[in-house]
Amino acid sequence: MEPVPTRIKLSAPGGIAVSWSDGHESLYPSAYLRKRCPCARCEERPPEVREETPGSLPVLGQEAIRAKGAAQVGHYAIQFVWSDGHEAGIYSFGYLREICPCEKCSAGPQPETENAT
Amino acid sequence: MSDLQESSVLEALGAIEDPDLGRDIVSLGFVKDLAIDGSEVEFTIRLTTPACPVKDQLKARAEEAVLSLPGVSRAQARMTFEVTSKAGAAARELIPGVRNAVAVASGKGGVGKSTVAANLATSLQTFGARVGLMDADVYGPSIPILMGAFEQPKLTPEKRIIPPVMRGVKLISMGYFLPKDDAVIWRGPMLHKMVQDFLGLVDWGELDYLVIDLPPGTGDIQLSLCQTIPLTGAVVVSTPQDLALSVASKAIAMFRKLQTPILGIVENMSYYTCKHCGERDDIFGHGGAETASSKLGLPFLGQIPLSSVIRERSDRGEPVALDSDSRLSKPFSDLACAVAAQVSIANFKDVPSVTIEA
Repeated sequence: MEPVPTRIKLSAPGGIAVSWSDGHESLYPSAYLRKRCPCARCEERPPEVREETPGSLPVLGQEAIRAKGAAQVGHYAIQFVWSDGHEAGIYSFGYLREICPCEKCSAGPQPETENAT
Repeated sequence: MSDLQESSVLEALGAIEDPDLGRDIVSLGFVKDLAIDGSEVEFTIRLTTPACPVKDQLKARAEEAVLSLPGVSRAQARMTFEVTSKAGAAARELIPGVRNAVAVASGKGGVGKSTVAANLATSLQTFGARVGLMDADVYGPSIPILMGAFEQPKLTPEKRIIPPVMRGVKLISMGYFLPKDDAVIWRGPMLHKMVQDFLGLVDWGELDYLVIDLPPGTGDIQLSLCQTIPLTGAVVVSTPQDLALSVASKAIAMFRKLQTPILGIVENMSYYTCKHCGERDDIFGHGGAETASSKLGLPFLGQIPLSSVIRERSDRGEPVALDSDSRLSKPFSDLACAVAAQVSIANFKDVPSVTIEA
């Protein structure tokens, strides 16, 4: 079975902390997770554009984004309520794990092939 | 004789296994109200399904096991049931009295999904369970016809919908809220709202099973339902035909993606028995759904024959599952047993539950 989150701390030091059923610990900076919102409206913009867009309106951009709340969706996902009012994104457990920014996860999933070459 | 100990009775009963859950009935906590009066022993076995096909066999084996103990002259088991639940927080809030929500789904239309849903609900009810039936097929609501229930739902003073009760089953359908012969031409967000209203605004009361008849396919309604409440599981209906099975596997893929447990596949229109000569004809092929379920690693829940009687009775709003043990009600009561067993198994498994802290 694929790993599922067991505990989510919305205002951990450094962002949103997620503990997984396989023992893995993820720490997502809030802005990082907000930028990767998988909702249809956000997905219309390519990720590189989203990456470059600083904040939203310049006036509001100064305040760091944070998650005001979250709820489990069915058996498979988490929905975050962001401080900018956006809450349409449904982050499936698989997607959430895929975008874990820790060194081990972002290094890519094939250490065996690296050893082989 | 006063040396008959409770522990030795429990030890004897501990040798008896629940066939669905594969564990002994003592460690499962099914043995209740054990009373020893001299050499006479009475106890209750509380199962997790109303329709356990091996209920009588379990009762006989339990009584026999206790009787074989030295110093026992009489052993009497009472059989009861309490349907288990693993509803998460979202479901508790939206449908507080509903222990299990079971969706009846199909890949393509026309496989008899609504007929299966109506008869499944009726059958579970005849076993003594408290059952609701929600017709979520907005495009072709057929539950009112299948159940013969055309009475409009009434409202409570708090503007909550009281579902009409027909054949002992609480019913709600989009059909009640639409002018006859009108169609639903809705965008996704409206469908999402409809699902939430149907779940939240209806006064379901206490239910062991809420059977949900889905529209065919893998669209907005299915997605909204899986997002709004954690379903106990889905029952996938298919005909034995390869074509239907290949589409059914898409529905299965969707539920897997949404991590909704699949309780199993039921094969409808499985075979036809000729009215005149009694010969069986496998019109859509034979055993397709059973092969498919074993390939997909899913339980096979049973076969429902193709029959003009089922069709006529459905059109008249008298589900065949109402009959006691007729040739045509049997496949549906077997299906209800199988579904109840799978629900009970699903409730003993761990489902993901996330603790969210501020």
